[in-house]
Amino acid sequence: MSDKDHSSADDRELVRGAQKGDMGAFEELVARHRDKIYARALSMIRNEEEAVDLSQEAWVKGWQRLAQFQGEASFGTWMTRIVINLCLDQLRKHKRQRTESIEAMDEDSGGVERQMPVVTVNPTAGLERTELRQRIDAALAKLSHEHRTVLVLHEFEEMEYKEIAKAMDCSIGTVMSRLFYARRKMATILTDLRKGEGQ
Amino acid sequence: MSIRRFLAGLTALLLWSCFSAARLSAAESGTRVEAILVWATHVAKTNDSTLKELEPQLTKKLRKAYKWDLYYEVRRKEATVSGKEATKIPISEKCMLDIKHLGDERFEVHLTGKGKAVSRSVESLAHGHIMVVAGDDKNDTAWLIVIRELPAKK
Amino acid sequence: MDFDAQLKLQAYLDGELPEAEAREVAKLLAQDQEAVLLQGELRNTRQALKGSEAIVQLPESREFYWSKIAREIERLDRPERVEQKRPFIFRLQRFLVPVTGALAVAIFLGITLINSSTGTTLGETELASEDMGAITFRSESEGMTTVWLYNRGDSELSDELAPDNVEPQ
Repeated sequence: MSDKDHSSADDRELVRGAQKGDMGAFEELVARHRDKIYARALSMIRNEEEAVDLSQEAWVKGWQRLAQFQGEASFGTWMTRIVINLCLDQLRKHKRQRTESIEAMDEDSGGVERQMPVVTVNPTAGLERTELRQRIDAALAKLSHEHRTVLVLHEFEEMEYKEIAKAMDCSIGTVMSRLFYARRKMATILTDLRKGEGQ
Repeated sequence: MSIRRFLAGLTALLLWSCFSAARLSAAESGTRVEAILVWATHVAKTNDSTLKELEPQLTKKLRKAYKWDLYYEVRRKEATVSGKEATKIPISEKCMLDIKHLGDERFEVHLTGKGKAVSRSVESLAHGHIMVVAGDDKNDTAWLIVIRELPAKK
Repeated sequence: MDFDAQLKLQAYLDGELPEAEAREVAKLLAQDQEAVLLQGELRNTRQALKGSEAIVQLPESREFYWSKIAREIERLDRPERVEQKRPFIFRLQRFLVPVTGALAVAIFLGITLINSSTGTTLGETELASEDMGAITFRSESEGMTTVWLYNRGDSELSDELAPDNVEPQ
C-alpha cells in the first residue's frame, strides 16, 4: 500500500492492513489517533513526558493485540481503553509510592463532602467554550488522581459505574462515593475560580 | 552433493573468513572519528567570535531533524578509535566521550558529565550515518554532540 | 438526607438506578428541597464537564513520535528473526566439520568473536541514572540517529549535563 493509499483509506481498511502486518497502515492509524490517545493519558497522568511514554506504550500494545480487535467498538475507542489501563497501572504504582493525605483518606470514608455547602449558583454559566475548557482543566488538576480518574472515565469516556469499578479494581460503592466527592469538589473549585476573578 | 558445488561453497567460506578477519583487524587497528559540539539556537550570535557557523551540509541535516535554524560549532575533536579499548574525547570541560569501535563500523559511545556516567549507546556510522547525542539547554536552545566516521587518511 | 440517599440521587442523575429505587428518588425530589438543590449542583457540574475536555496536541512531530513506536515493535519482533537465522549457520557447520573441520571452527570462532564483543543491539541506549530519560530516533533516509537526553525531574536537562556554558556569556 503506498502512502497515498494509506491516507485515503478509512480506519477499518487500515486496521485490516495492519492486522496483516502492514506497518505503514498502522503508522497512519497512529497519526490519526495519536492526539486523542495522548490527551487521554495526559488527563489521567497530568505529566506530559509520562503521557507521551504511556501513549507510545499503548500503541505498541495495540499493535501486539491487533488480532483481538474485532470492530465491536471504533478503533479509537479500543485504543483509548488500552491507554486508560496503562495509566491506571501507572497510577497504582505511583500510589504505592505516595503517602495518603488525610483528605484523601477522609474522602474515601465519605466525610469531607458532607461539609461542603451546596453550590446553588451555576459557576460556569455564561462562560465561553474555550474559557470553560480552561477552567475545567484547572479544576481537574486540583483533584487527587483517584477522583480525577473516576471523573474522566465517567464524564469524558462515558463509562458506566460497573465498567469503572472493573477498570479501577474497586467496588461500585467506591466508584459512586469517589464520583460524588469529585463532582462536589469540582463545583466548589469552579465557584472559587469564578469568585477569584471577581465574577 | 557434487564436488563443484562443494568447492564453490568452500571458496565462499574462505573469502568470508578473510573478510571477517579483515573487519576485525580494522576494528582493532583504528578508525578515525570526529566529535563536534554544536549549539542550536533561534537567535543569531554574529558578535561572538568564539562561535563559528557549522558547515552547511551538516547544518542542512540538522535543520531537517530539529526545530532550530541556527547551528554553531563550539568545538571539534578528531580521534582514532580502536576495538581494543575506548578512546577518550574531551568534548568540553564537563563532558567526556568514550568511543570504542566494535567492528562493522559500529561504535559504542559513553557520555560522562561532570565525572558521572550518563549514557551508553551503540550505533552504526557506516555510509556516512551520523550519531547525535543531545539535550535541551537554557533559553530554548540545545547542545548537540555530532559523531561521525572520517575517511581514512591516505 | 443521609450519605446513601445522596449517592442514590447521583445514581438517579446518571441513570444507574434500578426502576424501583429511581421511583423512590423521584418521590424524594418532589418533597425535599435539600435534595433538589443538591441535584441541581450535580447536574450543573455534569453539564459543565460535558464536551469541555481540554483540547491538547501531542508535542512531537509525527516521524519522531512514530520512530520510537516502530523501534519498540521491531525490538519485540526481533527474537524470532534471530532464531530463524541460526539454523543456517548450524547446518553449514554440520556440513563442513566432517570435510574441513578446522576451517569451520575458525569461521565459527570468528563470528562468535564479532558478536560477543558487541553483544548489543544497534540504536539501543542505556542510561546510568533513573533520573534521566532518553528518546532515540533513527532515520535511515536522513542518515542520522539522535539520542535526546532529558532529566525526568524537569522538562529540560539540568546544567550538570549541558557541556560547559554552551551559550556564550
